[in-house]
Order: sequence, then C-alpha cells, then structure tokens
Amino acid sequence: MGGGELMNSLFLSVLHLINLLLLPLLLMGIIRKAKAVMQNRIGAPLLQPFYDMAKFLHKTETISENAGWIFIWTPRVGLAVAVIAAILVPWTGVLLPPGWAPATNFLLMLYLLTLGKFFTMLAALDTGSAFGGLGASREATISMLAEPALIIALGALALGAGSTDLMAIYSSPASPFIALLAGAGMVITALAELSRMPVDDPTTHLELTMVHEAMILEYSGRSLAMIEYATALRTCIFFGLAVQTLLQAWPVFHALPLLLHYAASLLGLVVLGISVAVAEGILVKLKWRSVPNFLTFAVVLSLLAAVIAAVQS
Amino acid sequence: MSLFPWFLGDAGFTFAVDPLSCWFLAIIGVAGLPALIFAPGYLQHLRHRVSLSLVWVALILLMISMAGVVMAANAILFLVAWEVMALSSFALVTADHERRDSRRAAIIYLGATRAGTAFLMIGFLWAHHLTGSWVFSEWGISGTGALAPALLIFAGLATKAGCWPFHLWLPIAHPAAPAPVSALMSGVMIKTAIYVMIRLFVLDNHFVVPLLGPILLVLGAISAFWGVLFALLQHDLKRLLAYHSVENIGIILMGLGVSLLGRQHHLPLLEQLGLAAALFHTLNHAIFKSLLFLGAGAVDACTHLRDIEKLGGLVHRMPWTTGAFVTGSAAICALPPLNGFASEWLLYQGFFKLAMDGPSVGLRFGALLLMGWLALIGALAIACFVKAVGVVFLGNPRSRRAERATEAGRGMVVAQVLPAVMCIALGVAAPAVLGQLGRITSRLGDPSLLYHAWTIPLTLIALLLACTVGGLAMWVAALSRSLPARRFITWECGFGDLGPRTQYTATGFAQPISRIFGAVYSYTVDINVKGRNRRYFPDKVTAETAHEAYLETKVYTPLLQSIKRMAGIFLMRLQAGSIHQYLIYMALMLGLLFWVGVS
Amino acid sequence: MNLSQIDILAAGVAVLAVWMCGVTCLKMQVWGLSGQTVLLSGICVLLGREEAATGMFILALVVFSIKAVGIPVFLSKAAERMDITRDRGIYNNSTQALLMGCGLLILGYFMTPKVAVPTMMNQGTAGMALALIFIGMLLMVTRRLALSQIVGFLTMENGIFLYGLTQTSGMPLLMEMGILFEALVGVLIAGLVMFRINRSFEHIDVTDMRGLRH
Repeated sequence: MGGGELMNSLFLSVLHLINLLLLPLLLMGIIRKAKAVMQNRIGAPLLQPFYDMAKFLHKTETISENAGWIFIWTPRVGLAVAVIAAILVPWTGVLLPPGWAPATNFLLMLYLLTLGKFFTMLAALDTGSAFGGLGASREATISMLAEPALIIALGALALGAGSTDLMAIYSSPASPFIALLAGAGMVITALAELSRMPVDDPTTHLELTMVHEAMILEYSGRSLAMIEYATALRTCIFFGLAVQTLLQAWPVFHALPLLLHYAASLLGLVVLGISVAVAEGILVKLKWRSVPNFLTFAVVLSLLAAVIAAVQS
Repeated sequence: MSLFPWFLGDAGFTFAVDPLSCWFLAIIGVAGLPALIFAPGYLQHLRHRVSLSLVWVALILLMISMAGVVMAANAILFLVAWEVMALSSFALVTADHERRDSRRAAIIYLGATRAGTAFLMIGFLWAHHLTGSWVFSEWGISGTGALAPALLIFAGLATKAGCWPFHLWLPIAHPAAPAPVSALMSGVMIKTAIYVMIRLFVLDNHFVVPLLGPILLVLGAISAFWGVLFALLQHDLKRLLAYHSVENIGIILMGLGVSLLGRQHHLPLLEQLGLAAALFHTLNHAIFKSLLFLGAGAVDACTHLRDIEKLGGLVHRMPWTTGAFVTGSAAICALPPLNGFASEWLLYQGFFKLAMDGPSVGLRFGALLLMGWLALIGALAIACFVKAVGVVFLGNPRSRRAERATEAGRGMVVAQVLPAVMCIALGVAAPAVLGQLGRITSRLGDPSLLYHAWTIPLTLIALLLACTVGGLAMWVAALSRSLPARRFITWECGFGDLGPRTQYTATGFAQPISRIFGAVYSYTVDINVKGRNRRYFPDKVTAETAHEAYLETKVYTPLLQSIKRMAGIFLMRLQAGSIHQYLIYMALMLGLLFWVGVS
Repeated sequence: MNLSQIDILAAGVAVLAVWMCGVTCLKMQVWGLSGQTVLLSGICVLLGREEAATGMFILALVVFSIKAVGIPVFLSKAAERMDITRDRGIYNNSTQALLMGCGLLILGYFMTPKVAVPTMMNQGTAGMALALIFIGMLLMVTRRLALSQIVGFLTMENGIFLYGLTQTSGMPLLMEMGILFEALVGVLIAGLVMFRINRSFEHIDVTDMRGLRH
C-alpha cells in the first residue's frame, strides 16, 4: 500500500510541524495560566508567549561591550540544537519513519542539548557580569547531578528495548515498575534541567533564585527571542520524554492507533505542565545547599529502575 | 625486521610494525607535529633561561625513542627505548632549570619514572623466566603464574600512564615543562604505556589474566573521577590540563577493561567495542590535549601569567587562540559533532552492550552504573572547562598583563588551528576512523560487527547543525539591517559598569561542586573579617580555601619519609668519610670475589 | 731452563713488593715500583723468546718505558715538588706492615694450585701474581699519603699484568696494552687530582680528610 504509506508519512510530518511550531509556546502559556489560577489571579492570556515572541523581535538588541563572538553566537547555537533535538526526539509519541531511528539515539540527543548548555554557560561568563558567573556555576553543579540520573533512567529503559535509540525504546513495551521509577526520576531531572521550581524560580530575578535567568540576564531583543524559544523547546522535550516514559507503564498505550496515541501523549504533557504549575504554587524554592540532596533523590530513583532492569533482562 | 642481531645480546634490534603500531605511530606524528610547529615561537620567549640546543636535541630524541617504543619487538630493545624516552623527557622538564619548582618537579618525575621502570623490568624478567624468550610475540602466559608478572607490568605501565593511584607525578611534572613539551608528554608519551598494555594484555593473548579486566575498569573509573575532581580545584591552567590527562587515561583504561571483560565472557562485539573506544579515545585525546596545552602555552607566552585568576578578556586580544581553545574544550567535553563525542559514544555503547549481554546481574547493573559515572565525569569536565575558558578568555581582564596581551605569533597560531580542524574532521568523519580501527580489532573478531555498531549519523547531525546555525545567522543578519544591535555597558540588573573585580573568580565558580565533594579532599574555607567594627564596617575580608590530597599526605609522603629515615640510619653509618675505610671495603670485596671464584 | 728463570723473576717481583710494605721513604717506594716493573719486562722478554712472538718484545719495551721509567720519574718529581719524603703509614710500625705483607705472600702461594693456567709452567707465576694484587691492596689501605696510594695501585696493576702474562693462550696482546694504558691514564688523573688536593689543603694526608664528610 504505497499510497497509504505516503499519506501516513505526510500526515506524520504535518503533525510534527504543528508540534514544533505551536506546542512549545502553547505549553508555556498553559503552565503560566495554571499557575495564575493557582494563585487566584486572572493572569496573562493563554497565547501570551506568542505575543512576547513578537515583541522581542521588534525590540533593539543591546550587547555588552565586553561580549565577544561567543555571546553573539550562543542563541543561534542553542536554538539550532533545540530545534534539531525537537525534530528528532519523539516527545509527543509521534514517531518518525523507522529509517530515522538511529538518529534518535538518546546519548546523541542529550549531548547535543549539552552543547547548547555549554555555550550558554560560556556566554554567561562572556559579559563579565557577576550574575552570569553565578548562574553558570550553579547550572554546572545542577547538570553534574542531573545528567547521570537522566542517563541511568534512559539506560534502564533501553535495556528493556535492547537499543539506545529513543524510537526503539518508546515502541517496545516496558515493565511498569521501570517505567514509573524512571519516569519519576526523569520528571525531577527535567525540573532541574529546565530550572523550574523547586530548584529555581523562573519568574524572579533575585540573586537567591537565579540559575537560568542569571545566565540569560544580558540578552535582549532577537537573541532573547531565540533563547526563550529554545527554552520552550527544551521544556517540551524534557517533559515530553518524562510523559512518554510514564505512559509506558500503561499497558494499552502501545496498542492505541496513531491519533489516540498522539492525543494521549498531548494530554499527558498538558497534565504534567499543570502539575508543575500547581507545584510551583505550593512548593517553596529549595535552599541552594539542599538542591544536591533533591537531585540525589532523582539519582536514587534511576538507580532503582536500573536494578530492576538489570534483574529482569 | 632485525638489524645488528649481535648488538643487544640474544635479543637483537628487532622491530615489528603491525596495524596497532601504525596507529600509535600515527598518534605520535599527528599530535607531535603541532607541538613541534609551536616550539620555535614559544621557545623564543624562554630563550634567556633555557638552552635551546638542549631542548631541540632532547625533543628529537624523545620523538625517536617514542617511535622506538611502539615499534620494539622484544623486551630489551623496548626497555632501552623506554629509558631514552624517560631521560629525554626529564631533560626537557628541567629545561627551565632556574626555577625552583621546575627542579623539584624534575626530581619527582625522575623518581616516579624510575620506580615505574623498575616494576616493568621485574615483570619482564619474570616473563622471560616463564617463557624463556625476550620477544613479545613469543609470550603466551596464562594461569595462576601469570597474575604476578602481569600485575607488576601493569603497575609499571600505570605509573607511566598516570593511572590512579600512581598519578601523583603527572600534575607536578607536566606543568613544569615548557608548553610544547607538556603537549608531547601529555598527549603522546603517556599513550605509549597504553600501547604496551594493549599489546600485552588485550591483543593476541600474551597474558591471560581474568582479574585484569575488572581491575582496569575499576582503576579507570576512579582515575577518571579523581582527575576531573582535582582539576576543578586548580587555578594553574597547565595543572588543570594535567589532571584532565589523568581523567582521560581513566576513560581509556575503562575501554580496555570493557574489552577484557568481553573476552572473558566470550562476547566478541564487546571486545571489539571496548578496544575501538579506547584506541579512538587515545587518538582524540592526543589531539585535543596537545591543542589545549599549546593554547595554555600561547597564553603563558603572551601574558607571562599562568594563574587563571589574573587572566581574562583574552577573547578580544587573542581571538585565534580563544577559538582553538574553545574547540579543544568542546572536544574534551565530548560535545557532538566533535571527536571526543565519537569516542565516548563508543564507550557508552560498550557499557550498554555489557549491560545487555553481561552474564550476571551485578555486572549488568554495574555497567548501567558506569554509564551514569561516565555522564558524571563528562558533566564535571564541562564544569571545569567552562570555568577555565570563561575565566581565562572571557569577561574583563583581571590584571594589567592580561590587558596588554597580544595575539601569539603566526607559528603558534597555526600550531593550534591545525589540531582544532582535526578535532572537527575526526568527529564528522568518525565512520572512516572506525574503518581503520577495524583493521586492528580484526584480530579479536569479525570487524563488521564493529562497523554495524556505529549507528548514529554524526555527519548528518553536523551538517544539520551547521545549516541551522547558518540559517539563523542569515535570518538575524537580515533583521539587523532594519534594526541593528547596539553596544553598551553590561546591564547587570542595573548595577552597571562594575569593573573586573566583581566578576566571578575561578575559585568561586568551582565552589559549589568543591563543597559537594568536600569530604574526598577535606575542602575547608576559612573566612577572616578584619576591621574596627567587624560586623558592620569590615575593613578587609579574606577567604582562604584549602584542600588536601589524601593520597599524597597519608600514603606517599609517610612512605617516602620512612625510606629517607632508613637510608639515613644505615647509610650514614657506612659512609664514615674515611678513604681508608672505603679502601678496606674494596679489599674485602676483592677477597670475597677471589674466594668465591676460586672455590 | 726457562721455567725456573721466569719463576725466579716472578719471585723477585713479589719480594720487592713485600719489601715496599716496610719502607717509609717515598723515594725507596718509587724505586721499588720501578724495580718490579723492570723484572716484569724481563719476564715479558723471556716469554717472547720462548714463544718467538715479536709482540711480546714490543710489549716489554712499552712496559719498561712507561711503567719502569716514565711513571716513577713523574712520581718522584711530584714528590719533590710537593716537598714530601716520608710516609708514615697508618701503623707507625714498619715491622707489622712487613709481617702482613709476608703473610699475604704466603696466602698467595697457597692459592697457587687453585688458580687455572693453560700450561703447567705458569702455575707458580700465577700464584705470585695473586699475591702481588693482595699486596697492592694492602699498600693502598695502609698508606697515608695519596702518592703512596698511587704506588700501591700501580703494584696492583703489576699483579694484574703478570696474571695476564700467565694466560698466554687466553689473553690477547690488545688487552695487555689496554691494561697498561688504563694504568697510565689512571696515574695521570690521580696525579692531577693530587696536585689540586695539595694546593687546596697544603698536604696530601688522606686521614686528615675525614673532616670533609660534614
């Protein structure tokens, strides 16, 4: 059925494009709206992130006199990396054609995102501001603890699937225990990587609460637009991966037809976003010295998942 | 090939060149070339303190002896070349001999290399006793008798390679040498020890010791972690890079350990993957480590400063050096699509295959744990290099000398750009490199297994990345025609132009991580506030951080002190200072020899 | 018979060595050394005539000119320049030294049967050579001045040389010459160092140099 295959892949490509263009900023909007509801205010409209993006593109960019080429190229590299990762990683359950499976190797994807992080940290130090150093230093510490947790969790899942390609991981059934434990670990890691509560408060600019905001403090105009979009994409990727992992625990998930599969994943993503917003409203930000303990919890969850995977395989 | 067979006794001057030796010869050439191009420009700024002819003679001897080490076919010739390598590198470390720390570093280096060679010699003698031959290819030792000589040989090689716990000399000796020499030593010389390990333990069953696989894995893991942890604490750029050499040697040893475990459990793909990862990482490390050391040398030559807390802002004054150094840092942090990622990906795959096919639950869980460990090491390396690059090259200059720095000479710049280009090329063309590696691993099994294990389209990703970044750049350029960006002071939340002293220091950058791992090296911070009314109106606040390397203070220093004390007690009595007494010793010895010979 | 002639000459060498043990006058010691070497070159000539080898005659000439004439002249000139005539030795008692020298000679004689030689006719000579080596060591150990120690060293060299001569089928001529030139160079260097020591310390008394240790 050549025509059917073609229609299928065309449909998939269209879905993927919609995912890339609409979902990230929409998800950010949903999270903000949910948080506003939690805090008993009306809050900004749901499409506010889109309006913000348009606003940034119209504003003049101010670049620090101390900044060099790293500062200027970082937003471009960060966005490029995020776009490529968002295209390849199956964060909405929409899987690419099987030939693309090797490109979705989770090690490649994670290290690609780390490339963006590397440049962001360098750009933070490029301006010679103290906030940048603070943010970069804390980001380095957080990622040091978060990356092992993520890799062990994904490795445990991969053990069940027999390959380190994300597409293979998410298209083969996994034991519910592993999926739940790994998924929980990945949610905590995602909170850390994206600098959300309780690790970092994304809405304030106080020194106490700055990690990601501190690193992008000096950006404005177009570069800030690129960085914000890259952050939105990364949010989708990490939350999407966590949702996919958690949904693996639901035995019916694999058997669903394509559209239901996609709808379920989207629903999961929205539910996760709202839960994160609720958590942001309820939880207080952790003291900086307690952040490593929090992340160790994620590592422990991943290790438990790994033990079960090692025993079961 | 055998020249002058009578020369070295029954061993002879025999060379053997096979794909493995070719690989290491390629490493020597490819990593040595930039160092030698860099040397003339760099030595110019040292010319008043250093004897240039000595340095050049020693450099050439070093290159020749390294080639001799990887080509030697028998143990005697190998030891001769090994010693020449050690002596010529010693001569190079003492090149700047007017500085006291250079002299101290040279003595420590000499002691460490002698101790390592002693272990190696005992191991080789034992092997000769077991097999009756000096030629490497005729050794095939297995069983319980193989453990002791294998461990001795490994101890000697680990000392040279800089594996924990024998690594202490490396961060002392490598920074004391001039930059091109450090690049050669760190990039190439320590790899010759890896060559011997591969030849004796991994390929061809010369030593079959099942315990060696886990030992290599564990020691490699500890070295990698230890090296990168201590690198975070350093504020001397070259010492930082030397500790990273310890880390990368740990990664290479982990690859070798995986390969040996694969052989032990009869997993041919794992054997090949581990060896391929180790060999590829050897090449990659040689290239980017020499690049980084040459960058540090360029900074040293142009600013006469090695302490990173006094540098800064060099991105505007030394753009080429910065670009090359950033490329090298990205490579060493294993960021795609550069070469460091390619070799670490192979290692990850090796761990994953071990986790999948390992025979016991413990081994499988351990392999998953090692994947996380490698990720931890990678993240620590990123932290360390962001600190190094950020504090040295970015921001504002922290001292007058950094302000007045100028770009390095043309030779020095070319010597850095060359390896940077190689880093990118090797990463993008990784499958081609794997083809070459297949020739070496074909001795362990079918190389097509290895070729099929490389699944990621790194070239495609690199191309996509380049296109996307290029596209974004063009879009931004189009936008800026109507709305150009403007330059102004750093905003800093409204605090404005605060100057270089408010920037983050390297110590401050590393402080959170140092505090987390503080128990490992008793990290203490001592804060002193001085002033008439200390609490509200301090005059001066000083913060002092201190750390202590337990291995050095609790193991090596007491050991060396007790050796010195014993030597003092015994030798002082023997050395009476009287010539007659010495003559009596000689006469007694002569009589003893006569008695033994005659009876 | 040539056999007894060589034995007589060798015995003469050994007796001269023993006599040197008991002598304190430096000039006598140097003369003793010279005498030993003359007898040695005589042994060389006899051996050469026995085996009809011209190499031995040349060797005898070289030994005579270097060790019997050249070096003793150098040493006595050195002694004159440094203005020393007597060497007390560390015992102050020449009888004891003589007795010890004699004892070593007897020891060497008793070791004779155990020494391997190619032909029976060299048996006794080899024993004497051993004795000469021991006596040379004794001279070095019991003397105070650096100059006498050089004389002792040269006696030891004579012993080695003599031993080499007994191994006629073993040691090639080249090695004999080698030993000789080694001795020559050794003496030259020792002489140089001796002059320096004399200039630095105003004496060449070795026992007073113990203080250098601290």
